[in-house]
Amino acid sequence: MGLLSYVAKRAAFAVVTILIIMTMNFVIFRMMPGNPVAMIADMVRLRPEQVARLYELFGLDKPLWDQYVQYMVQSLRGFYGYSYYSQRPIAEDIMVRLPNTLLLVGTATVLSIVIGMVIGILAAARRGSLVDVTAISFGFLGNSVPVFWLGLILLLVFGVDLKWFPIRGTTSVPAPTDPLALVLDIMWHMTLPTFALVIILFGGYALIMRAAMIDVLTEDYIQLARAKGLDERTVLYKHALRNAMLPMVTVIALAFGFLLSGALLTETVFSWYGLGRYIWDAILKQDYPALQGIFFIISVMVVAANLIADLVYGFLDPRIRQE
Amino acid sequence: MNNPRLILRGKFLLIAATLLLSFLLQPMATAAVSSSIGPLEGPYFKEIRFKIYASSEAEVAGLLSGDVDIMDFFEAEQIPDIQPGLTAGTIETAQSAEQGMWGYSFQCERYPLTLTKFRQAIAHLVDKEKYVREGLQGLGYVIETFIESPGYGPWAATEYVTFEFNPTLAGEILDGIGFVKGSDGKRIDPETGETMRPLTIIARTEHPHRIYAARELAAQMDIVGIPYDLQEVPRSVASPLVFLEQNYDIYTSGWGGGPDVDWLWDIFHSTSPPSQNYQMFKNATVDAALNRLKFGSTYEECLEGAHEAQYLLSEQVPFIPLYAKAYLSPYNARLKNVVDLPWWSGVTNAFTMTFATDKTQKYGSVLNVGWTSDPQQPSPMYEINWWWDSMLNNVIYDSLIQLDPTTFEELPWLAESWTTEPWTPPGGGSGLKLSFNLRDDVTWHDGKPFTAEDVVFTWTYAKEQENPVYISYLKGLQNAETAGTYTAVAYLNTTSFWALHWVGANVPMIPKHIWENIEDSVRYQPIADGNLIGTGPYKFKEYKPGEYVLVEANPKWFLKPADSTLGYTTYTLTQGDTKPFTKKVTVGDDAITNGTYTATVMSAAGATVKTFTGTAAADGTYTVTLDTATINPGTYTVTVEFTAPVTAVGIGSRDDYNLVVEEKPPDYTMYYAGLVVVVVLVAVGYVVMRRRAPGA
Repeated sequence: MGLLSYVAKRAAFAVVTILIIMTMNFVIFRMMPGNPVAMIADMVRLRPEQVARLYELFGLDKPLWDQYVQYMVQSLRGFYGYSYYSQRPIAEDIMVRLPNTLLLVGTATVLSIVIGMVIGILAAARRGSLVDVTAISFGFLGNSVPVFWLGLILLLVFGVDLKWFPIRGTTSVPAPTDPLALVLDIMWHMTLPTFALVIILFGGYALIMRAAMIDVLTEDYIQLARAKGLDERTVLYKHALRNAMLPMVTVIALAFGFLLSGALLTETVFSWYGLGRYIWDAILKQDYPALQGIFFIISVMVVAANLIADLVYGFLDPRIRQE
Repeated sequence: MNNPRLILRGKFLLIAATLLLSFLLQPMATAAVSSSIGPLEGPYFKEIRFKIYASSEAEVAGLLSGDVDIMDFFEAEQIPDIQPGLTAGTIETAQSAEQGMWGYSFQCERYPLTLTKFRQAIAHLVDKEKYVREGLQGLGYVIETFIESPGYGPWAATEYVTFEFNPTLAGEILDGIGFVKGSDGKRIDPETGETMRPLTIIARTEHPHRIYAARELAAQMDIVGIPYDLQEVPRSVASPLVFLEQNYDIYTSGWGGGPDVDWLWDIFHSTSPPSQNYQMFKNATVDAALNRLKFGSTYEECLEGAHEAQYLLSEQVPFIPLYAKAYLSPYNARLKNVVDLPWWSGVTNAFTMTFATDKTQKYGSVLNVGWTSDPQQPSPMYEINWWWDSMLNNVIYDSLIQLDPTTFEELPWLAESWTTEPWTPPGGGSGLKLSFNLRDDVTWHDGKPFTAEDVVFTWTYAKEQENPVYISYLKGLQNAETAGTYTAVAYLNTTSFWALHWVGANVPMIPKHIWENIEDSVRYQPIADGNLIGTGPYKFKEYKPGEYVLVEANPKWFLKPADSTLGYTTYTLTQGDTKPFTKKVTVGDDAITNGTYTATVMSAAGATVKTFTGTAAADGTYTVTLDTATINPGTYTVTVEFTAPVTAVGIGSRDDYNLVVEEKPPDYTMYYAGLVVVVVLVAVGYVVMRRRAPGA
C-alpha cells in the first residue's frame, strides 16, 4: 500500500468517524430527560401560546427524523442553529468565546508541556534521587487534585484574602480602553486560572516524559554515546531527548486537539468567558444546538489531530503504512 | 407709553421674568415622592455594574472580597459561607419572611386525587412543625394558607381549615371512602378491588428541603398503606412532567407572588392555563370566589374574594401549604437605605438600586451587583420575563404608577395623578375610564420628551403585538387616546379593582419614536441598535456578554434629588490648581453688575468646605476662581451660583460639578540637586584619592 492510499484510507476513516459522531451528537441530547422549553416554562410560568411558540421557534414541533435531517444538512454547511438561550447563531456564540479559551487553555497547555518536560527530563536523568521522587509526587498530586477544589482554594486565598488577583472574569469591569492596559488586565485576570490548570496538567507531561526518557536512556546507543566520552548534557539533550520526544509528540498533538473543549470546570470557577463555560451553561439549560455545535467542532478537531498524527507517523515510519 | 424709561423697564421686567421662569423650570428642583419607606428620590450611584459570575460559589467569594455589593440569589443554607464577612462586619443582612410558599401540589384530575377526602387524608399526614425544624433547620415558619406572609397584610385569610398531623385519622378517612387496607398492608382501590396504584411524588433535587418534605410524606404514606413512587429528579426532568404534561400525582411545589394577590386566580382558577394551574383544579365555588378577587370592582370586594377563596382552597386541598422560608439577603455594609422586597430577591431590586447609597459617599459611588446569568434579551417587549432581563428593565424603564414597597399603595410616578370613572363599552356592560395626568418634566434617555402619545402607543402596541407578558393586563383595553400633551386615557371593559395596576403599574412605558417602526417586537433586540431607551433612573451603557452589564445614572430622572451632581462634569485638579468660572449676565442690552457669583465646595457628606466669591466686570461678566490650595485631596461637589436682585424675586442660575482634588506630587527638585552634589563630590573625591594613591 502506497502513501497515497494510506492517506485516502485514513481520511475516509476520519469522515466516517465524524458522521457517526454527528449522529450520536443528535441522539444523545434527545435521549436526555427533560426538554428546554420546560426549563424556561418553569422559570417564568409561560402561557400555552408562549410554549407553542417556543416549540416552533426551536424546531421541536417537527418530527424527530425531520429534525435529524435538518441538523445534518445545516451542520455540514457550518450552521449549527440558534442557541435556545442566547437566541444568537451558535457559530457567533462560539467565535466570541474562542479567543478567550485559546488564550487560557493554550497558554496553560504550553506552560504545562514545557514545565512537565523539563521536570520529566530532570527526574529521568536523576532517577531515584530526591529530585525524581519530589517531581513524581508533585506530578501525581497535581494530577489528582480536583480542579474545581483547587480553583476555589486559589480564589479564596489569592482573591478574597490577599486580594492579589481578581476573582472573576476575563477583564475588569469596565474593561480598560487602552490596548496595553487591556492586555495587562487580561493577563492579570488569567493568572489564577492558568496557574490552576498548570498545576493540574504538568504532572501528566512530566510522568510521560520521564518514562520515555528512562526507556531511551537504557538503549545501547546511549551507552555508546557515553562510551565515546560525550558529556552527560549532550547525551541527555542531543541523543536521548530527540528519541524520547516521539510519544510526547502524540500527546501534545492530542492536547491541542482538545484545546477547544476549554477547561470546563476552571472556566466555570473563575467565570472565564470561554467555551468550557459555554458547554457548562448549555448543559444546565439544555441548550441542544449549542451542545451539538460545540461538540461537533471539538470532535472535528480531535479527529483532525488524530488524522494528522496518523499521517505524520505514516510518513515517518514506513512500517505503519505497510500494515 | 412712549416714555423710554417705561419701555425699558417693561422690557427689563419681561426678560427678568423669563430668566426667572427658566431658572425655576430647571430639572434639578425635583420633589420627592412620599412612600412608606420615606421620601423617594434618587439615584445616588453614578453607575451600576452587573457582574456575571459562572458559579454561586464565586459570587459569594465576590461578596466576601467586596467585588459584589448585592447578589441575585442567596439561600439561607449559604449563611456559613458568608460568616467571615458577618463576623468582620463587612456584610450585613436584611431578614424577612419570604413572600411565597412551599407545599405539595396535587394533580386533581388523576384518580384518586380527584377525591377531596383522599387529599384531606394526606393533609393529616403532614407534620409541618417538624418540616421547619428539621427540613429547614428552623429557617422558616409554618403556613396554613396561601398568602399568609406578614408582607401581604390584610390579604391573608383569618379563617381557614387546618388539618392536624394525625396518621390515625388519615387512615380512618381513607377507610371511610373505601380505601381499606389489604392483607399486605396496602390500601385497596374500591373501584378495582385491587391494591391501589402507587402515587408518583416528584421532588426536585436542587432544593434539599424539598427532598426532605417528599421523603417525609412518602414515609407517612407508607405507614398508612398508600403506595408511592418517589422520584427525586432535577428541574430539567420535573418541569416537563409538571408544567407541560401535568404527568404527576404529588409535586413539591413552590412559588413567590408579587404584591398584587390576584395571582391566586392564575394558580387555581379552572380557566387558567395548565402551565399555571398545574394542579388541574376545577371547582365552581372556588372559581366564583377567585373571580371576586380578580374582577371585584372595590377593594372590599376583592378582599372578601381573597379570604373566601383561601378558605375554600384550604378545605378543598388542591395544595397543602407547608412553610415559607426565612428570607435572608446579604449586602455590603457600606450601603445604606437598602430596600428589602421579599418577593423580589430581597435587597436586590430596583428600589435599592435607585434609592440606596453609600454610607460615606452620598453621590457618585458604584453599585456592584452579582449575577449568575447573562441577560437573555434585554427588552421591555421580549416574550419571556427572564429574571435578569427584568432587573435591567426595571431600572431603565418606568411605569405610570409605582407600588409602594411595603403597603403596595399606588405612588405617583410617570403619572402625577389619575382618575377612575365608570364607562360603558360600545357593546354594553360595565367598564372603566382611567385618565392619567403625566409629569411634564420627563424625557427619554435620548433627550426626546415623554408625552401622552408614548403612553397610548405603549398600550395599543403591546396589545396589538399580543405580547405574552402584558396581554393579560391589556386584554380589557378597548380604546386609548390622548387628551392633551400630558393626559392619556384608557378605556377598559372591566371594572376590576386591579385594572389601575394592570395598565398603570404593570406595563413599562416605551418610546413611540423607537418602537413604532418595529414590526416584530418580541424578536427585536434593542441593545443591538442602541435602542434600550427608557425614562428610568439609569441609562443603558454597555453589555459585554459573559462579563458585565453597565448602566449609568440618568441625570435628568424626574426624582433626582435637588442637590444631585450625578451626570455633571467632573473637574480633576491637582491640589494648588485653580479653576475659573465665568458668566456674562445681561438683560436686554443692559449689563447686570449688582449680582453675586459664588462657587461653593461641599464634601461628599454635604458639609460646606469652602466658598469663593466672584467679581463682576462692567460688561456684566462675572468671574469666580476656585482655588484648591487649601482643599484636602478628595471628592467634592461644586455649586456655582449666580443671584441678582434684579426684580422683586431676583434672577439666578445654578450649575453643579463634581470636583476631584488630587494630592500634589512631592517636589523632588532639592533631593535631585542634593543627589547630584553628592555624586559629584564622590566622583571628585574618587579621582583625587586615585591620584594621591601610591603607584597611581
